[in-house]
Amino acid sequence: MLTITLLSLLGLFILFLGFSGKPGLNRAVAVSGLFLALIVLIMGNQNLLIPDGLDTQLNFDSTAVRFSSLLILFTACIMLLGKKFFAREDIQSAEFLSVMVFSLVGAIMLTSFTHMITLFVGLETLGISLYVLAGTDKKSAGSNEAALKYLLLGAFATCLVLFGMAMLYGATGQLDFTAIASLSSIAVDSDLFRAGIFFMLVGVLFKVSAAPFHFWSPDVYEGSPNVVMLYMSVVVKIASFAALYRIFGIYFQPLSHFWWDVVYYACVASLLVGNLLALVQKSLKRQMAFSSISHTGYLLMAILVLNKTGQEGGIFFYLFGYGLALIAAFSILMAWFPSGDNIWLKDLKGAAKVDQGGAIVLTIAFLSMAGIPLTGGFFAKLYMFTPAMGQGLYQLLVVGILSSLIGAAYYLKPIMNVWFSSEAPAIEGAEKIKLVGVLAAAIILLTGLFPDVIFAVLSLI
Amino acid sequence: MVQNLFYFFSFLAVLSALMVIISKNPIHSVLYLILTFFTLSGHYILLNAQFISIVNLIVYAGAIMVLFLFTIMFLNLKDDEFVGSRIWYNLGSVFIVLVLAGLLVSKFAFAPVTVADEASMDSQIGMVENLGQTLFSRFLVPFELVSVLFLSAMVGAVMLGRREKGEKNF
Repeated sequence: MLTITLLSLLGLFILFLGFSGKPGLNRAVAVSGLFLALIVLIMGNQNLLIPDGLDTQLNFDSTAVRFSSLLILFTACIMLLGKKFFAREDIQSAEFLSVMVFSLVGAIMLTSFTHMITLFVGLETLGISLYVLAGTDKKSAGSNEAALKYLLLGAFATCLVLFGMAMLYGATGQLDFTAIASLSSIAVDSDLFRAGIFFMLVGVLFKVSAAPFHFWSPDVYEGSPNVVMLYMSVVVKIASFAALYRIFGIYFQPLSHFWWDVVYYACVASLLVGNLLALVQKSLKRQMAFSSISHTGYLLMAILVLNKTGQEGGIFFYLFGYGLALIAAFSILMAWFPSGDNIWLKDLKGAAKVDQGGAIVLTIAFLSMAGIPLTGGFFAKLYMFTPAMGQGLYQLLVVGILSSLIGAAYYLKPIMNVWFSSEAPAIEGAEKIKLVGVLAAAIILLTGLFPDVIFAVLSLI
Repeated sequence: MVQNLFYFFSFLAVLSALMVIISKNPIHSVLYLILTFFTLSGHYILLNAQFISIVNLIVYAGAIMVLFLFTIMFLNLKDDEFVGSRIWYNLGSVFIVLVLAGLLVSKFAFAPVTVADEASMDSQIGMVENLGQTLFSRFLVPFELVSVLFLSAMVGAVMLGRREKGEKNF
């Protein structure tokens, strides 16, 4: 709760800093504020300013602290990468950064809610800020389309979540997740309860962009500015997946027979749709959007396993590795294509001739996303597949392994273009290499060699 | 009396909600939507929730609908500019809605009605005073956090709506 207060105040403060008219200052304050919030999150007592006996409807247990620290860390990285974007004249950096910090408040609520009201407020705070962020590049038609599409479809999904909540309340008379979870599955079994869980699941699956509720994500990812796309595919994915895990992996786990089948088919569909459609894309951003759908599929495997102790470390590791890989890749892509428009796969051709260091970082990032050994992505996939094998989900495993083979194929495409093309480079010139990207690539390799490091760090939190 | 009013409001609500979709003219749609909100407010009064009823009228029927009307008038859409010709899209969405509605109605319309226990029910629970007490004690934190949501929406609206250099005024 202390972190949430701190971040809300930080957002307000940045808003007033806008009077200075210096994008660099706004960004520096935002990033240092985020690191302060990260320290407070890990070290501080979250109930410091809360009077005794007040139920905050938020619970900062170890799950929440872990996922929240990931969210804050990655948001800070993305802000560091967006230097050029924030310096653009038509981007109001103070407002942009403060809306981003406010959306982070929503994201942290999604990792820590215990009550439906905090879940809903968190979803909306995250969602509404994102609709705005997607449309910040006002002169680009794609950005406008992305914002409008995301708003209409996102509002619809929120309605479904709300519809489900109302039904759950009607069936149980409770809005508190812990109270509902403590009811026995025979006592709550009614059509109303089943319908409620179903609608809620559909709404949340929409937010994590799992197939068949994925239609918004390619268009929205493609149209949004690169910084926002990175934010959506890293931070928003982590936050909404943390919410999914908290609802279905923790609270409703004893009630698994109400939702298990739906998640199973969504998982298979995400794996297939994401990987197969990513194969045929010509735009790199669209390809990343479809691959993001497939990564949701791999993550859903962990929800299906129904083993609380085994799940969380794996999910954390996967999201950590995926976020790092995206940040490493985009640190290079945003330097190569500063105009911020769509990035086509053919534009990457021959890039290694101009910027070899950048090409190496990009290659490591893509290899990690594909799950090639010696990168963190390999162990991330391994931690998804091993528990599934332990549970005897062999058909799912076959689909997962086949689709990660397809995944390797389309992740190799940009790598081939970068290194082995005789064409003249089309990139707009290399600048000095980004420290964030290099660090991220180094951590990917480190976790690929010593995956236990992450679990050692996790056990400290 | 209450029963009759309930049926009257329900009939009107369903009818006007249908007309929102059926009307060709967007202004008519918005007016029907206002009617729907009024009938829902009537329902809230029947449930003894006066505060929500009034807020529903002021916020939805008042503020938001006026905004809708303004937007539609600014856009100045003509009938023929609507994407109404894609027949398969329309048929598909009607089909899906009917299937969903059929499933829900078949399950819930004939389900046994759970009646609230009259002895333990507090009929004053929806009054302003009780609502305020709950909001400022039990739900204080979510209530305050909603302000972050509104602030973010407000900042976003100003950010997107601000006039840029070289843009002309309306």
